[in-house]
Amino acid sequence: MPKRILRVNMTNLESQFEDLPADYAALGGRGMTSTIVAKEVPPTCNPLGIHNKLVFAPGIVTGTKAPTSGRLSVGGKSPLTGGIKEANAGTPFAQMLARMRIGAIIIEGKHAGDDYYLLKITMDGTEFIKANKWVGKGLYGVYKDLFKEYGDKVGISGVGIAAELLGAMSGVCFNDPEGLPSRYAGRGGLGAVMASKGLKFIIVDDTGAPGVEIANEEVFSQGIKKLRDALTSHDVTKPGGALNSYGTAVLVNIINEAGGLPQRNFSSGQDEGAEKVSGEAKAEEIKKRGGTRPHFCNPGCIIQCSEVWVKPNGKDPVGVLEYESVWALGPNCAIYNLDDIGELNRACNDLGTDTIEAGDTIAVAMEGGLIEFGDGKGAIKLMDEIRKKTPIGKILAQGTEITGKVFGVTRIPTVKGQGLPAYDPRAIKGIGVTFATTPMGADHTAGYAIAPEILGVGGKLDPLSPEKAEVSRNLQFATAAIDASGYCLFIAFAILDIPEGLQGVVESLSGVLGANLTVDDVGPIGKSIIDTELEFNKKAGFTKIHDRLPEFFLEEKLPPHNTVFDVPDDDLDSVF
Amino acid sequence: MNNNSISVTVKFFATLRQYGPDKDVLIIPENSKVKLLFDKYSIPKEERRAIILVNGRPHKDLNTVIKDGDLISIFPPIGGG
Repeated sequence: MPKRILRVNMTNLESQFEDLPADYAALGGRGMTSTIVAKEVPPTCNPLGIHNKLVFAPGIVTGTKAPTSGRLSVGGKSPLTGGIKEANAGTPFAQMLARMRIGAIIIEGKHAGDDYYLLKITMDGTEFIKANKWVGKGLYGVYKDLFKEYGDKVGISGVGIAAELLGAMSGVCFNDPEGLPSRYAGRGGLGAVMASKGLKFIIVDDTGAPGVEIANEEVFSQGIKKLRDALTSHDVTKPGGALNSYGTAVLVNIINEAGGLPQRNFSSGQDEGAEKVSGEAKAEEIKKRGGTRPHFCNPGCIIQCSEVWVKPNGKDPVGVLEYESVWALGPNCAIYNLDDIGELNRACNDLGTDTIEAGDTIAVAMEGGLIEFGDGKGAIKLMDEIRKKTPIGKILAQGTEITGKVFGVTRIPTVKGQGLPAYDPRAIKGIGVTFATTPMGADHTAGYAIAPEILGVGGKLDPLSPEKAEVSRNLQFATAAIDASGYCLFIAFAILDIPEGLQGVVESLSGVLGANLTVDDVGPIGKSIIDTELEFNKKAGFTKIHDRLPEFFLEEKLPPHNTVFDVPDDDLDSVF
Repeated sequence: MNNNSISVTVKFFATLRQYGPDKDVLIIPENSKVKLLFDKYSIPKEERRAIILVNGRPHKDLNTVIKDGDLISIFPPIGGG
């Protein structure tokens, strides 16, 4: 059975499998979603209208024995940025699609009326089932119901209450191996795109799936061995290393020490309270409470940075509290209490919102006087406004920029409408160049300059130096290629330092595709994906003027280094 | 503290906390290098590929000379995002 595309028309509730076009054969993940969106979606369309499409695509090696490769991309035109969007998650759902030889699901059209549907996909075909009984309900309960109804071996993708409001902070939710609704393709409001079409859930059952076709087993096996060796030997990714022991929130302390952890809506880069919500503090609590740490977001991961956070009594699992989530819902709101952050993260997962956008939104709401900075309980109540679909909730659900404007805030930390992640660009300037220039809107994963600027991985660069155009460009190209591969971006920590690991990645891709790729192909593959995305954005109306940080980053000095973002506009324009 | 001594604040993080304190203030001889801190807390050789920040500035190493009043933050190799 060749690889297929599943095309789903929500207007008339029909779907069909198509052969994967020959020129899509070497595409996966972000390469697949961005190519399809650029080809099939009119760049000027209304993101929540009939012409937008939502595309799901597992990576090239996803579903194979390749380590740390259970990633999936979701793409479309973003209601948050107005540009092309790829959001990425690690989930068993990705591996199931790949094993069923589904290279992409394309959701198109728009169902008239108020009904929501569940799309079930098996090796026998597809089925549309009315999903109205789950409307207005939190995803923790709903996912439990769905696993009960469809069996515990299925994979689930879904959207929550925030998406029902067509909120631009809504994400597309996937289950973790425990069935928790905790793995999100969170950014850019793609959950609202799914809901706008009348689609609430996708259930995948891969029983009888043939598995991923591997053109050259020998080259593939040799490649994944090299990558496995790199991942198990590199200090960052190895078992028992800091990422495995403490999770991604191990970054809280180092970014705070470096003066780049935004506090109180980007008004300071450091606070003593950060230690209380650090990866170290969290890991100790998880151990004490009987949560799980380490944990994997999808089977076959070597790094295992994930975890299951629970309440003090050891019950009511939330899932992972990622670094970005802890920061957004914590220090960014001057909340230095892990239990409040855990409950806010639970609310995000339950309502189907991106944690970064939710945290940025709460912080500007605090600055706008809706509640006080540091009021964790008040922040949880604000999330309840979304649950109750009140007017305030509807404003918040639209994200940082709209909320900031409504409440008269001028310090609104967004680029292309998307809230900034957990690094202040005045203290760490290369990541600021990425925030400004990536076609995604402010997105740290698009070109993670923190690696050379702070962590000393892939080089050592002074974070306060403004000369960062080249490093951001190179990282953005490399990242786009990794996002297409199906490997988790975190393999980069190992392969930036260990050349054999990178060689292994390339061999594993060649093995699956029956191609003859070399390490030199990685940059051009990434560049071609970004060129496609930039072209879409240009046609959607984006210019160089949109590749800028908000003015306050250029005017207000950030303690403790007391620096501003001083990368010249010409440098930003030279990135692409 | 005599004329030839300086004061330094040292912080250890993540896996290195099994060897050194979360935070401590030490009086050490002038012109001491960061290596002295690793020796003082008997940090094993295989753990010395650390990330060292001095006053919030990264990419320092064992040979960095410590100045009076410096804050030294020491991490094992870490990643995330």
